[in-house]
Amino acid sequence: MKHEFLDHHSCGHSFFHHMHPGAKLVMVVLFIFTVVTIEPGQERIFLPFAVLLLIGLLATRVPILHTLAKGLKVLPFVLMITIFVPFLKEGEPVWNLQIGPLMIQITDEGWKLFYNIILKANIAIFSVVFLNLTTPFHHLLKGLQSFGAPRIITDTLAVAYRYLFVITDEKDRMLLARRSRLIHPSLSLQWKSLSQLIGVLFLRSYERGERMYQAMCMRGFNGVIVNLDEYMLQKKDIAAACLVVLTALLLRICMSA
Amino acid sequence: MTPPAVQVNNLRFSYPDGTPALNGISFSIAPGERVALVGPNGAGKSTLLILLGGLLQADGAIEIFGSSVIPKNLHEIRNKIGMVFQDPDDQLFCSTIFDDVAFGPLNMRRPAEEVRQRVAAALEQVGLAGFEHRSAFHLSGGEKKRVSLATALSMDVDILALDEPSSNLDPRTRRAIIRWLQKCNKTLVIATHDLDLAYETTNRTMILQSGRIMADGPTTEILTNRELLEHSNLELPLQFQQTENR
Repeated sequence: MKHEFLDHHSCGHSFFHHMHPGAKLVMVVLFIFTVVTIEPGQERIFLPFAVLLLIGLLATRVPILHTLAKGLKVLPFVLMITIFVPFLKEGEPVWNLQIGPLMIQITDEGWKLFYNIILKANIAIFSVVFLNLTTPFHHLLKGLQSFGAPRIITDTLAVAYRYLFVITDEKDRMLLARRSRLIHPSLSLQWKSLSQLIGVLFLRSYERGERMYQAMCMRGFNGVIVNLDEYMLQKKDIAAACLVVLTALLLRICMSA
Repeated sequence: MTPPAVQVNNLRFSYPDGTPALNGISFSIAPGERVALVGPNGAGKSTLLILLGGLLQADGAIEIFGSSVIPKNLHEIRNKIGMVFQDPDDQLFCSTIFDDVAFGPLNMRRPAEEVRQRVAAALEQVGLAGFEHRSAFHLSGGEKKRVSLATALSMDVDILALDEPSSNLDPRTRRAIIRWLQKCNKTLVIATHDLDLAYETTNRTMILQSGRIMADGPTTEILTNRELLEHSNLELPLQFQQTENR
């Protein structure tokens, strides 16, 4: 079965695709950090950052509609968190609604804060989308390792990502088999079969884990996964990361002045 | 005198729940021999392969090229015997094919350049040169199986232990695996239900049933003996059934 992989398009051939994952990670994190420090009321500063990000996204040569779709999937979650900000922040009321004893009002400060958070969130989301579109997941983990992330975490994440799709396939096959045998089932029967299915899936995953460990042992595993570091940090990677970060900092300082 | 590739004496093994898997089996495999382990489900074929690699502890003795399969020798043993599991998804646990094929040599502390050469050579041998940077979940079942073989080959082992090498393969990929096994010049131990594959790739066959060796002899004799096969809950390879039906 085929899945839409989380890092679809990440094996492309743009400059950013070939950039060292560690350098790219630092570049994106510092870019986001520069943007999130913009205070409410300074929204005009977001425009050059958005243009910079757009240039970066276009340079990845990934279809822009795919990029937009990916980023916009996250936006509802940001809205869910921020939707009450205009109503809760104290300040100058710009809109009132009286419902019985309940007074609902939007304040100017609340509205500006909401607007600010949405813009920040969008730039941060699309920056992460940029990272995701140009970096396979395992490269990202190696980037984290090069900054001293604990191997136990990066190795666990790498194996989890590898087996996520294997287990999803197994789950899909089991659901198909269940559906083929459940004809107009009662709700209780549906829940019962679903809980059994989850239990069996857990046991199968556990057994697979054991077999995988045996396969590792057969190839000399002694507790530490050893990798060859294929990603040499090159001068051009450092130069590109510095260029982007310095541009962002200059924009931030110049436009705030 | 060269020691046998595999020497097994009075091997007994029961699973933790008490289910007996092997009931005192003994045999010897000479270097370069190609042995098929056949038998019905639950006969103990896969368990025997696992025990040869020292992945479980059993009563009795196993020696690989003269070295006892005991905890202190495991590093040496696993340099000599490579195992290919039935489900390639158990064997391919790394993010890329390169990492998977390099996993063994890296654990054996081989230098980086040698590891790269071994990976390239192993993938070349299974006809998948250039697949280094792909992920296992982007491969077909047949490709995964061949990469699984490459993970054992890159360790430059003397013995290959294969568990159901033709399971879940389409006829064309199965044929490719058979041709590869016919050309392979290592000691082979193949646990399989595919009797046609066993007939075409091995020169000795052992029939296991209920944890015992029911028969051990040349493949051409064992796999053409209808009575013996039926007595062991097996049947003639398909190619001979078709000949009989004509």
